[in-house]
Amino acid sequence: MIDYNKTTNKSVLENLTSIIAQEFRKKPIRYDDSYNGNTYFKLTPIEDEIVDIRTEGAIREYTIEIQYTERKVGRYTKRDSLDGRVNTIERLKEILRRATASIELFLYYVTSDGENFLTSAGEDVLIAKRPLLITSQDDFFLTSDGKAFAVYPAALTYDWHNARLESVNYDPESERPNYLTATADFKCLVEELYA
Amino acid sequence: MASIYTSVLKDNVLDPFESLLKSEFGKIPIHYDQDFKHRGNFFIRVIPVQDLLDKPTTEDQLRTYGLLLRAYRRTPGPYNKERSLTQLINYIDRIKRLIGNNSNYRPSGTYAWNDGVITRVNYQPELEDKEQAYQVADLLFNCNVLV
Repeated sequence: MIDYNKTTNKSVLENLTSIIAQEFRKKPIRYDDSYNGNTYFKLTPIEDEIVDIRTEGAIREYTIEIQYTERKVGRYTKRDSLDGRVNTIERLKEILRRATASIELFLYYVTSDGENFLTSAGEDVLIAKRPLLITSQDDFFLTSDGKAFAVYPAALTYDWHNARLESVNYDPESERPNYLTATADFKCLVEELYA
Repeated sequence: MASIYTSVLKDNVLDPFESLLKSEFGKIPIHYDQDFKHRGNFFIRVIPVQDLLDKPTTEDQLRTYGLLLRAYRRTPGPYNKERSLTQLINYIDRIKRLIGNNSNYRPSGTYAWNDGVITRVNYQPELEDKEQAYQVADLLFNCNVLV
């Protein structure tokens, strides 16, 4: 069996799920329409398409449909039937605008005894027990008992770039009669290396 | 007297493609049905969709071939993301990587194709009524063959 990256699921679908879940903590995220709650997001992979072929890799554009669904309440009014969807989609656009490139920087700290510490770049590291290590701009740390802390080269985790929400549609009709929906296409580029 | 010719689509594209898939996935059922037929819970239908002259030369031709692969997967029971969605998605990523690793394909030193790539994956293709029982994804495979 070849080694391969589960790009569509791990880098795109699960990463997008995680970003939405962190922001909308009380709204379930589903992948089908069997949910009967008041509000939920549904994510549906639509397609991926080659953008550029590299010598040992490829850049692909992935499209995921994000559907936000609210249960209908009484007569259709702007306040009860539209504002909630608009606000949710605008909030979603904003969090995805901030996550245009899903790249995280981590720094590794390793003691001379081989103990490992991992931190996001820029975050302070505080180790309560001795030896005490308080960071974070320097590359080298000496502790009171003579242990040395070396900073490993920063490691990047990459999921996607050029992410954006395209073509939002406040659907006049829903496939589920008791619900109102808003549908948006999420697109992002992922560069995959084969080597 | 009949002309001597090579069946390029069969010898350079269809047969090597099937053997490449089977070398990776084992006994995966691959069918060439023009119309949909139930072939079990998991199978691939291959439909040739393109044979295009890319570049004529004095004695040769560079032609672009396209195969539509329609992957079918049926999972019994209620919807479950892992079984009903993720497994097929991962399977497709594995095919993409397999083709990426073999974009210039020469099984046993014999030229088959160059620039092979899965150009597009469609997770929401239009389906006939009979296909609705399956989770279906379309993959478009393209390659060039110097004839």
